Amino acid sequence: MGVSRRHLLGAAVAIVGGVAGRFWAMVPRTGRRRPIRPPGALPEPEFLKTCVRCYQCGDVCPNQCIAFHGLDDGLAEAGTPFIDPRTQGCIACMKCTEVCPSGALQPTDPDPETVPGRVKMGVARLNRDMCYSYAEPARTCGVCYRACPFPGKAMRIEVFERPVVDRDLCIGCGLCEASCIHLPQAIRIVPVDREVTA
Amino acid sequence: MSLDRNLAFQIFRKGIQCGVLVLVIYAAVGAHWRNFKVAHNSSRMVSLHTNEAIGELYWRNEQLLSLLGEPLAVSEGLLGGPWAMTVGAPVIDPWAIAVLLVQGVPPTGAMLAGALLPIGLAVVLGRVFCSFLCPARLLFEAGNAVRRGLQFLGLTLPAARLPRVGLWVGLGALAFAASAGPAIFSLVLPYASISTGILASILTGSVATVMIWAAVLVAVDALIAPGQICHALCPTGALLEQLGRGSIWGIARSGGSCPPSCDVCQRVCPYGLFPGRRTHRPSCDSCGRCAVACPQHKLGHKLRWGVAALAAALIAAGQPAHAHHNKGLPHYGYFDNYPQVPTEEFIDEVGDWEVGAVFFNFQGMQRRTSDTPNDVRVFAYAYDLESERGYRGEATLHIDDASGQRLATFARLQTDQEGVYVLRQELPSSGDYTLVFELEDDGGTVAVPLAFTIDLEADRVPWGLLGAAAGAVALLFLIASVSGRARGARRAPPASA
Repeated sequence: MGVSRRHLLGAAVAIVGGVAGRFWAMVPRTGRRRPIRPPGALPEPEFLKTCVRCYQCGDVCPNQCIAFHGLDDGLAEAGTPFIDPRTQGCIACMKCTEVCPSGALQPTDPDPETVPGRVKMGVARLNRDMCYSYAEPARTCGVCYRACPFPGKAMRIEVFERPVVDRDLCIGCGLCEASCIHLPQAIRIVPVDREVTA
Repeated sequence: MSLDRNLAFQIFRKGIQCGVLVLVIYAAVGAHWRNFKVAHNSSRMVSLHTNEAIGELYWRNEQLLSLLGEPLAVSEGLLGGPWAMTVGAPVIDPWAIAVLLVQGVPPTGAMLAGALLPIGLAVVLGRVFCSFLCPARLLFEAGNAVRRGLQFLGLTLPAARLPRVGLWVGLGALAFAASAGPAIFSLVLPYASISTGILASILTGSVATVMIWAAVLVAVDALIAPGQICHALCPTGALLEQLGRGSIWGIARSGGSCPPSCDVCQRVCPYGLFPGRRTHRPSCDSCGRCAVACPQHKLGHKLRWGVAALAAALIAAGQPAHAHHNKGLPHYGYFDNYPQVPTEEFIDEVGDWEVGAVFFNFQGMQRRTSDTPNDVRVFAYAYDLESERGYRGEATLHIDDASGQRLATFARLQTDQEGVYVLRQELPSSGDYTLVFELEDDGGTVAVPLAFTIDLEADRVPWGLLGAAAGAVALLFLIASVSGRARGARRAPPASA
């Protein structure tokens, strides 16, 4: 008796779902800073489509630096992984890229010799006006340089331990931002448009 | 004899169900163990860093994992939850594949291989995922035990029957996901809500919203529509039901026909099916409650043809993969930043300017007795993105409340500390505010807003929220008991076959 009515109701559910999805996707994003995705991430639009929200990257991360967007960040981004370098930087072990089942994080070779230049999560941007080492008179600090996993490559150091970031070799791991002792942070990671790396 | 076997089956099933829930929690907790393993690799160091109990647990877990192989590699072989889980090899929900397909993203070979196990299981054994592996079903069953307890105490509860639209719900969610992404499935699939909620809670240390949603589902299932979320609404249940139409295993009636007046099996069936009349397939998930209840022992699990197909499926399930142990690069970043460093920080980019501020509103544990409990200190900076220089010159900063009312204005000839303006203001209440920077830019003045939120009540017990939650539950009970009286406590009559 209820068969046709049931399927009518069901089809209505499906159509409402589709229309709601279109509508939802049109809701404008707020002006928040874009998050830094874990290493090997696809470019942002493809990443949001491909990530299946399985939380395995955060589960496997030995450094516990991968956090997840909640529903309060909107349904489009809910459940996707991000790194907040201020809380915890990435150690570039590439475990997350090995376990990702969907390819949203592309498998990436963890060889530290070749990681700089090949992996790009973001780039460190130094605000010299807030940096202790660049102050006049200089208060030599150098904490970010000591935190950098690729010293001499991604970050060089000059007199008074003044850091200089190499934009091409910096991978955006955020260990410098996590270590910076100035408030607010004098060095922070700016996400860049990512390219797929193998 | 037959009764014993069926009871043993129930105990076995409950054991597997609890095992899955424990596995999901353990997979998430494993992240903390691996963090200790990579950072310290010593129970003594873990004890010193945390406490003796954690150090002991760390050591016990290491011993347990050592039985299975290299501990870190074994630990990394168990990740995620039922929606997408790594148990040696990845196991993927068929809906996850469908989500990628409707978005035009080709699923990887590993994903397709991972979906073979759940699909194969359903084809061979029917809806056993629902009765054995689904963590939501375990919670629903616990909720229904509470329901029976309430009914025993005399409360009449409604037993709504919902139209069976599971596949349609799945299609609707797919249509939604085609434009808005896969996250909707963590709300539509109850087990995904629970497992992602557990993972998010344990990994990030905060309560995930989807857990609250899962609790709502359990409450609805227990108080209003017992069994109906699984039976009528769950997309996975509907999909596995269709896949399992030709399954080789299930509940079957043996011997002659039942007495015409007996409907014991229907009354105990969580879905209201009627195995005594052989109308239970394909919706039946072989949970076997009817087999325990049948007064004439006519119902039981029957294998249709041979164990060979089952054995073949188990052999095809695959070998565990071994991951490479990488101790990571430097040891700087392993633990959270120093706790005394405030992380309440807001940053925004407006045109050529990046503006940011750190907020201190911590007055110590005795803040309610301090002279200025709502005193907030602001360390603000502005950064010119075009010339890549911090702004150090003359600036006027305002604090506006959410309605645009100006609360305070600070004029500065230059930054107070290098590159940073330091402000101090007593704010009236928790909520949203805007910090407006008025800066000299190309001869003119630009106003750059920075929205921020202050929580002045973080140290207070949220009695209002707790009361509202308790009130909502009480209201649900009230509605359930009132409508239960109106409709009668009995389950609706069986659908005409």
